[in-house]
Amino acid sequence: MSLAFDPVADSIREVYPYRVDLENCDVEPLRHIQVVQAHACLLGADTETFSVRYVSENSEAFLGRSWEAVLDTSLRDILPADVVSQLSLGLERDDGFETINPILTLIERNGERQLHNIIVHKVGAYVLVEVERTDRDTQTSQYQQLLARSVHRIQNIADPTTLFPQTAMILKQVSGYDRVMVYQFDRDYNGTVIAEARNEELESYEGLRYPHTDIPKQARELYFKNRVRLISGVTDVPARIHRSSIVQQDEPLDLTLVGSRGVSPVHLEYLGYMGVNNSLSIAIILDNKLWGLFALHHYSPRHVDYSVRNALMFIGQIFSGHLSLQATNRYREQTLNRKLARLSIGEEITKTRDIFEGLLGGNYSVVNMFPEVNGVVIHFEERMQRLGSCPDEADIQQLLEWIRNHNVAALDLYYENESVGREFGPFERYCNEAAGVLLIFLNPSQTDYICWFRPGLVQKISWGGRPDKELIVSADGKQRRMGPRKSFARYVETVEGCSAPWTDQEIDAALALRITVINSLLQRYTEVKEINERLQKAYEDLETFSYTVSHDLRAPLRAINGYAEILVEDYGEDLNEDANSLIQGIQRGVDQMNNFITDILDLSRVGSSGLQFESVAPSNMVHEIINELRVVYSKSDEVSLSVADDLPRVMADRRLLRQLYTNVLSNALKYIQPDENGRQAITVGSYRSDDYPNTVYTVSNTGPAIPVEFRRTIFDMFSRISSSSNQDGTGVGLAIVERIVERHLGKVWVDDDQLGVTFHFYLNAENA
Amino acid sequence: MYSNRILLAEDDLTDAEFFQRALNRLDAPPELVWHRSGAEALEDLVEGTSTHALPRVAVVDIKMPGMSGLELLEKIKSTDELRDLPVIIMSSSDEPSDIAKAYDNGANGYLVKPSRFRDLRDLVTSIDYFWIKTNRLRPLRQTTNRRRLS
Repeated sequence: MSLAFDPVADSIREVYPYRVDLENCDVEPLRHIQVVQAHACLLGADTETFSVRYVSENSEAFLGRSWEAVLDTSLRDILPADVVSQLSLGLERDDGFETINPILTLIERNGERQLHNIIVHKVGAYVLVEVERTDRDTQTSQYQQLLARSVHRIQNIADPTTLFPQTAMILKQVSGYDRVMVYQFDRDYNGTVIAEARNEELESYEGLRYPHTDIPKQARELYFKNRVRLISGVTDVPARIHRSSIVQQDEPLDLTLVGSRGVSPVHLEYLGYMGVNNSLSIAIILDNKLWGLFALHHYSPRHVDYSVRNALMFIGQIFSGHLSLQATNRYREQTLNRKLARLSIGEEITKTRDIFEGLLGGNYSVVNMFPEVNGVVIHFEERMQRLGSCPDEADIQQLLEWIRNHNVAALDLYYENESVGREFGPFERYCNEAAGVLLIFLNPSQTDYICWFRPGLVQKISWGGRPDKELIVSADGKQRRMGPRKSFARYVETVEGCSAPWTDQEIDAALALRITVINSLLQRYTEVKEINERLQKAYEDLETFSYTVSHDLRAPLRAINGYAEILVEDYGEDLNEDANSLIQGIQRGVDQMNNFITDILDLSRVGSSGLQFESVAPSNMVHEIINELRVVYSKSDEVSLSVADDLPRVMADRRLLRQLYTNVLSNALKYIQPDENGRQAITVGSYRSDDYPNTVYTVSNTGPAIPVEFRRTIFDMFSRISSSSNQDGTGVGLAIVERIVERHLGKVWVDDDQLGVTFHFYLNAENA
Repeated sequence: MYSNRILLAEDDLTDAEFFQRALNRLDAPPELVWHRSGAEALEDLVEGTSTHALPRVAVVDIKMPGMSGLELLEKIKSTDELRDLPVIIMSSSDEPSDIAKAYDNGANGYLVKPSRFRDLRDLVTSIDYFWIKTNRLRPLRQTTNRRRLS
């Protein structure tokens, strides 16, 4: 927009004591404006001497003296004596003029005595005195009654949903304004009219949204110092503040506390566009934050007495208190509910020892933990579970990767976004079902997590006019400034892909749940660890036990055997045949017992010793073993033995592999029987198959196949197929074989695919 | 001076008896000096160094109350006057770790106690042949400061 004549720009240059950046409303130095509104006269006097150093141009109209006559004169000569004595009193008090304001006094002008309100503030080395006319008819007591009734009515609003419209109504009645709006700020200080009371003929503003730029930051800050802001007559000409020549120029007067502080020309322009003549705003402050405003508009000029403003401010405070109480109650209720849910989930995890069961299966579920959630994903130790409406698994994984790689998780603990699709492209297509994401990580490597999804809301925002300010450029192009919005026609904008926001309380609850889950997991982990340790200990004890027992059992066996042998050697000739065969019986029993002990010792060694894996060529080893066994098994002479010379090398503990082959070969020699051709044979070989990770080694012997039902159990401890003691096995040998194979992460099994009985095994020590 | 004696450190009465009986079956049995503990055996040996009456060979069980066979072995091999005395460990254990420990401590042999008497008899015969009859031909070495390299 281009203007040949821009009175607002000129006016801005006039009202500030220094140059102001006109293109940025956020830096307009509102408190340093050097004008006051027409409804009051301002005097700024030295606190020591009471000499007036600042005076507004309109002093004549209030005090009957021109500003030139007032400047550098003592307040004692200007104000009535009772006012001056109150000034001295206020300057000495700790709480200043808080309880003194306003000082009601009569000021004589042109021979006429008029009632005035004097409002005093101490600012730095100055005492600032505002002089306002007051309505003779306005009785303080009358306002106090009104106030008491209003407060009573606000406090009796039982239904929280009617709190806002009812309060607006009460304020309208008390203040007599044309329109009273309850205006609430969002996180970004965009304001929405959430309730309204207005004259019937006026258009409704309810539901309209005003951009945060309408009330810039420094204007919002002023509300903390001065909770009521009156703009008395938009069209009235403000009064300039004149400065004594004694005052340093670089010391602009701070008007923060001055109620009649002049209004920014831009804001006046804004109100003018809206047709408002008189505006009164009352701050609603909750938890030290500007929650909102009561915005009162009047379309014709009117004077609002200081007492009325004070009463309205008080109502604002009562309202804040009421609101705070409501919020606290609501918060307490929600917090309690979430806490119950969290504790119940924790107990459930501990009880069921299953995180998924705990999070989903109990009375409370993470799905119901937050309102408006329609999907939850839990990922824990390789397992992912999706509940309700969730994005595809691949997309969730992508999201996780994006969160991890872009360090967008807060404190590396959680991530929340009410419109994730705007930042993470692949989620754009989920703007309906998963616009909002709240995620907590359960482990430091960020692989385990719980994630909630909130559906997108199609929000229709009714802006009070297009939310854009306008750049106004002068005709010569040299001057540029921001102008306020001109249009206040309802402008509806549709916003998609945004969910209900995650509140701080919800994020806190999610983080608390995270700790609960981690604690429950920790408890579970500790239990498992304890059980493992106990198991390990028991296992070690068992091995020590079997080692000790086996050794101690050998000594008495040696004694029995030794004495029996000596008996035969020394006295065998004196004994008859029967006695000798009895002694042989003793010795057979001892031999059997010795075999048992040897096998049990071998078994305990398989478990207890540390393994040393190396590449072993089995062919030579098998030949050696067969040579040793031939001595033991006399019938082996009739057996045809064939050992493949090129058995592939295998990674194994040499000692255990030898034991393995020894046991399998002993077993073959023990149970060998001739085939239908009367041939007895043992073959040792190997083969490769895609079904197994490594070469499979085999030992086969002729003889009846092992019945299918025994093929699994023959590897169990002390199991023998033939219960007769004719077969001199202990039932431990194959158990040892299985233990050895297990320690090499391999497998052993038996079938009848070759000569009759074939043992197959493969080792996988590379992965041990 | 080495006598025609064999020392046995063995706490088990039966094992000792079998050893004696196996020894008795030799044509010319050497004299057996039997001690039931390592400490007792060591005391006897230390005394023998002054009287020059040491056995030709010591057969030592591992598991004994008080001083174990391995400790006795270590004491013998770290005493200059006793170092050349052949020590044969005789144990019911065939644990590779026990065997390695014995040889690391300077044992001259390791035998697993046989479960058959006739095997024990064969072993005792071998001990007699090698450590008493054969080694008698070995020139007696003067005690030196030679240390065993481990």
